[in-house]
Amino acid sequence: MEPSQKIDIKQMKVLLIFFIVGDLMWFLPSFTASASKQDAWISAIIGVVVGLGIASFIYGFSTKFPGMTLIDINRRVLGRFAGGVLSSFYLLHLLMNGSAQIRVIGDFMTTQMMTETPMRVVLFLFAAVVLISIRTGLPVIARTAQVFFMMFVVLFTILFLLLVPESEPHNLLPLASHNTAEMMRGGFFVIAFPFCQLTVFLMLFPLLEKEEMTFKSFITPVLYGGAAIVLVVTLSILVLGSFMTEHQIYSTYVMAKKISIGNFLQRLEAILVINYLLSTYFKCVISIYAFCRGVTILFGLSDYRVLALPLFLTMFGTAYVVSSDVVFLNSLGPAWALWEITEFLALIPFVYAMHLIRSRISGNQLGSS
Amino acid sequence: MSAILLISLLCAWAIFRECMPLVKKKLAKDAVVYMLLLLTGASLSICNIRLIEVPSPMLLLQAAYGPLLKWLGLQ
Repeated sequence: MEPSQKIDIKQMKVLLIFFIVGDLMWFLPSFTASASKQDAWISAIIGVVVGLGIASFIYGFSTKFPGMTLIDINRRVLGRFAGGVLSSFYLLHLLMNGSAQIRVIGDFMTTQMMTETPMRVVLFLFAAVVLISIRTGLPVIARTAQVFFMMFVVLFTILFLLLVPESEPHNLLPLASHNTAEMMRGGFFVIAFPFCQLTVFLMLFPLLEKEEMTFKSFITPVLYGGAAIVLVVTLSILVLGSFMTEHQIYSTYVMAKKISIGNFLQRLEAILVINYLLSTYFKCVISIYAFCRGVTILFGLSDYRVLALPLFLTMFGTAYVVSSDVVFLNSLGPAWALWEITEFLALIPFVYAMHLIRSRISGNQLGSS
Repeated sequence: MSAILLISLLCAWAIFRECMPLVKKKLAKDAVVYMLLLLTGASLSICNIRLIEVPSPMLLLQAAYGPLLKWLGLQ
């Protein structure tokens, strides 16, 4: 029997923030800037506002099915077969997401920091850390997140404060020169990447200890995460300008390299890298943990932890297969964003509509009998 | 070659240490899922270590969403 996997609301909040910030700092500024150039910050605000609506919808959906994971909900609403098929697609999506996080770390490390190290070594080590985390269970993951959270916030704040002197407000000009469609295109990435991916928490909500998560306690960390997105995108445009933000793969890393206080305090990008690694690690662990639990529930297995070792090899292999190189991975952004949105639409609004139709039909049948 | 040996040893250890107890406990379903994941993982890991080129499954994603992406002006 597996030990209790319960966590409390504070821990869930921290996990939510880490998940939203996740890997956004790697790619999001360049994706947004590619669509709306110097107006990327407006796109980010639009994306966060729509994203908050999506997050609220996900929360509302979870309250309709208390104590049930997404796999249970699919099975209950769509039946064993159709629900199983939809859940399988979702699990595949989770596995690819988790593996992509590992790949992102591998690509970054071997192109920017440890250029002589073979990427498979970085992938192997990172996947091994994820394996250990999955085996220890959600409470340990959540406590680790709590321990690192303050450090994450402090480093993020230091980075932000040190970059303010480097910012050049004229980079934002001309203001609002793009049309609504272009701004929406920029916001589309913000909506897809952290917010549509929040469906993963439907696998974790049933693991909350005693008290129920209120809307306020759910939306507050989402709001903080959204604020971090707007801050990072705006800062990137202010410091680097729209051209550099758009064309640099790791624009925020390049941005952090510009920190220089009196030619004395320099090369502080390591701060950023620590933050990147922390948030990406937690996002990856949450996705893979949800995958493990999902497989366990879908196939009715006894203990999810047994799957950790084969899953480690699968992650290690998939991280390699997912993309041939960093350029291809970066070019996948728009298609991946659409995949996220499709998954969200298929999992939440579609399943909810089916639930409403079924309950109406069964209500009518009860009324007529 | 030594890396492939490492993966093989890892798989052998996993089968004897984790999969066999599942079979002994008559958890057949668990053992089947375990073996499927292990085989997939081991094959992909060997491809990774030997740098064997495997077409990315994400090409399917690009092919499937290509027309929609063009229509949305994202490609």
